[in-house]
Amino acid sequence: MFAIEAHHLRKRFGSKTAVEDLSLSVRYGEILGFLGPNGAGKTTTLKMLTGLLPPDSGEARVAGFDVVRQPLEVKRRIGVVPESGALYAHLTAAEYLQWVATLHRLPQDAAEERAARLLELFDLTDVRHQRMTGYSKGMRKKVLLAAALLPNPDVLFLDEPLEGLDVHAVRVVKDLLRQLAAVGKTIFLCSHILEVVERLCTHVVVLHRGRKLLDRPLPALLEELGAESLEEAFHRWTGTGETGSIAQEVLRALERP
Amino acid sequence: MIARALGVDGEQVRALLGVWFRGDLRTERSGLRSSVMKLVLYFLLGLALTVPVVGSPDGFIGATVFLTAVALIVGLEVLVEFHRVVLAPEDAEVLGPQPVSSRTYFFARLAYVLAYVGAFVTALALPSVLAFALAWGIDLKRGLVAALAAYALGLFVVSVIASMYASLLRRIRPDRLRRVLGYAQILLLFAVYGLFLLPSWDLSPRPFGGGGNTEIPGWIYLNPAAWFASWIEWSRGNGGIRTTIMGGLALLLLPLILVLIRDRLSLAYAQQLATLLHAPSASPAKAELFEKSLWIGAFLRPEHRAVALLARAQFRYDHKFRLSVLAVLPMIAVFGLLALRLGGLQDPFVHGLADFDRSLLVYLALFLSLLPLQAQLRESDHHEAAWVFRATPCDPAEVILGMKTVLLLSFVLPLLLLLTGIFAVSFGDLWHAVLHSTMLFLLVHLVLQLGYLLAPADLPFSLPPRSGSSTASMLALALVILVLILAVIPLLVQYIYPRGWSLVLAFAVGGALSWGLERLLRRRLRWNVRSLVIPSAPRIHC
Repeated sequence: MFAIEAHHLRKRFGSKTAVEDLSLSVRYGEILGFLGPNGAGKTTTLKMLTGLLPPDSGEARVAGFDVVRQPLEVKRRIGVVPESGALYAHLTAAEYLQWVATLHRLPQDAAEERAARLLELFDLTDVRHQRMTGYSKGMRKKVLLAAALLPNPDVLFLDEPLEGLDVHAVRVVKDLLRQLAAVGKTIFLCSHILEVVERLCTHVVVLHRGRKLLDRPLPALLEELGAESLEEAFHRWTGTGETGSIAQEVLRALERP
Repeated sequence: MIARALGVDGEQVRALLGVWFRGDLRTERSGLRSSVMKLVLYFLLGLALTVPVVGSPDGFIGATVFLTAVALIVGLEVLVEFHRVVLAPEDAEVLGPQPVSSRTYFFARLAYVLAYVGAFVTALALPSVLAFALAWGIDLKRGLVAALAAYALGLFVVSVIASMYASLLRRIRPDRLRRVLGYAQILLLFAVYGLFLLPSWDLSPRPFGGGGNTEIPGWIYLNPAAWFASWIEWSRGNGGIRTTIMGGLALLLLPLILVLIRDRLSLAYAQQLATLLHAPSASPAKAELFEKSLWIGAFLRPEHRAVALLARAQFRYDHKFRLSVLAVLPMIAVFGLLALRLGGLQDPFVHGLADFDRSLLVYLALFLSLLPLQAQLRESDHHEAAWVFRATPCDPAEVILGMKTVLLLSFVLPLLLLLTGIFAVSFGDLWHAVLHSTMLFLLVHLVLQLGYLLAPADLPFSLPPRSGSSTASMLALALVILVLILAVIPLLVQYIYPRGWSLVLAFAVGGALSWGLERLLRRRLRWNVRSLVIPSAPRIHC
């Protein structure tokens, strides 16, 4: 039984192909690292898998439900942290979590207790009654993580979840993701921080220009390519390894009067 | 119970409405005070609308004019606030992953739109509705029908705009659409001002529906507002064949409203809007080189040039800033047209104060337009980006003075050149026109200097919109302007203009006063902006 299954997904925006013939599957308890350079189609894929964007063709099932035909069933079982960090910032963190709990129809007592625990975990207890307009990017990301975890979802879709977080929070989130996977939750992780992906993920999918380039368990992949790190392997796959000469060019431009 | 039967989650609808209304009351732009002020403004506008209602030669025409104004104002409001009132693209991103059904979202959004449009249509229509109910003897039915017509037409306008919005976005690039909408709003403002200022309304009491002598032109029925106005005719039992057909058409529009908005108030549509709005432009905006612009060369100091460049970029790319600047034009145009309607402008060097009542309107338009512009240059949605002024080695006092120079060279000067042309034609004497415009330029400059002397020392585009931080100084400046227009200009025209030597002396005194004020202003700004300067920053040109 797979937590996430996608078959031949395709999405175009006008003449631009965002995702082409993408198939993948993720088991329960797995942490999938979904990688690719900017514009590779990662966010579009995430939107299609979470029912935010209908695919032009192909099909996908999340937690056993079809994302197009049964979107509400899917959304009751997932938690999402979008890269944009979009939330209603005029609310306080406590109000936002209460609101998300209402939309998920969680019992009030349980929701309040969970929200309090999550806010404590992310060190937001002291500011929980302040409007989020005054929050830093990292604090907003913590609220989004708390909101995604609040309904205790089976599958978590996280797009750059560690962006803007402080060192302590990064460590908390990494530990949390490992423990969630250990109890059978599935995590779909989009991140540019390859060190984090390397440490956390059991499986890696690399997307390039909308197409799947690689789909392997991580240890097998490193061994297969003979790469010492995921970063080295990533640059080899996507052909973005040569950065020294670009840096030299920039330095020369700065030195010109 | 009903909600469940309709497949709507009532609890979720309440939660969604709670969040949206809280957003209205808490955000800087729309907050509670701002919302109340807006309703008061609409009520005052509504009071003005009773003029055509009571004073039109025919009750049906009056009702049509009133409902046309309602449609225009609702259209204006919806165009300006589309992404807040009708559909917010961020809803797709925030609500997309939540288990909210399309039907629940539709009902929540519809309830929100109804509440929003209902509130300001009530404020706008209330005086006219009362006029319909009471002005020709007590007839509550007529008042009630007028209210229903206003609400139905308001909703019709919202649904038409909502249904057209994405189609427009598909055909026109978002940046261009914003520009087009901006101009549409200015045209609507012209129409709203013109509607009750320009025609001659006879306010003497007459029976509702006129004496039957008024010929109603056929083209008036091309205006959907006339169809809804037919309901008011019906309510007094005056249902001719034409009225019946038009009123019936308006009734048929009601189900059409639901059809039009059914697919528009949806998360899928919000997502579509978000995608269209964030799509990259097919052809990037033309970039002009700062150094090559002749206009920019008029700003001598680097800080002034920096402010001018920023203001120009804001005008080009910041929809709200452009609109707030352009919104001044209808006021100037309508005041000018009113002055012409009252008999045109006469040469003050020849006729003295003979036509002061007409000139007064032009002076009011010129001077009062400075107030919103001065405030707009301080405010921006991107106010947080103003840190750059504090992190670069510019002189903050000069940066603030740069705002005055921008207003003077980019707005006052072109406007006065236009006025000089109008004066020249009206006076029949170019030399007198130039002299009078030069005197006005000097007075405007003095007013601007006083304005910046009274206002807090804020950097350009550094405050959140409608922060209200300078309301007191704006009121003080408005008083200065009124004194200037009602006392100083008449004194100049009466005692200074007739003699050449006294005019030269007046220019000399005005120039000296301006020079002194500039020094005082610079010193005061340098004192006030010390807290803005990074202490160790060296003073070099930016």
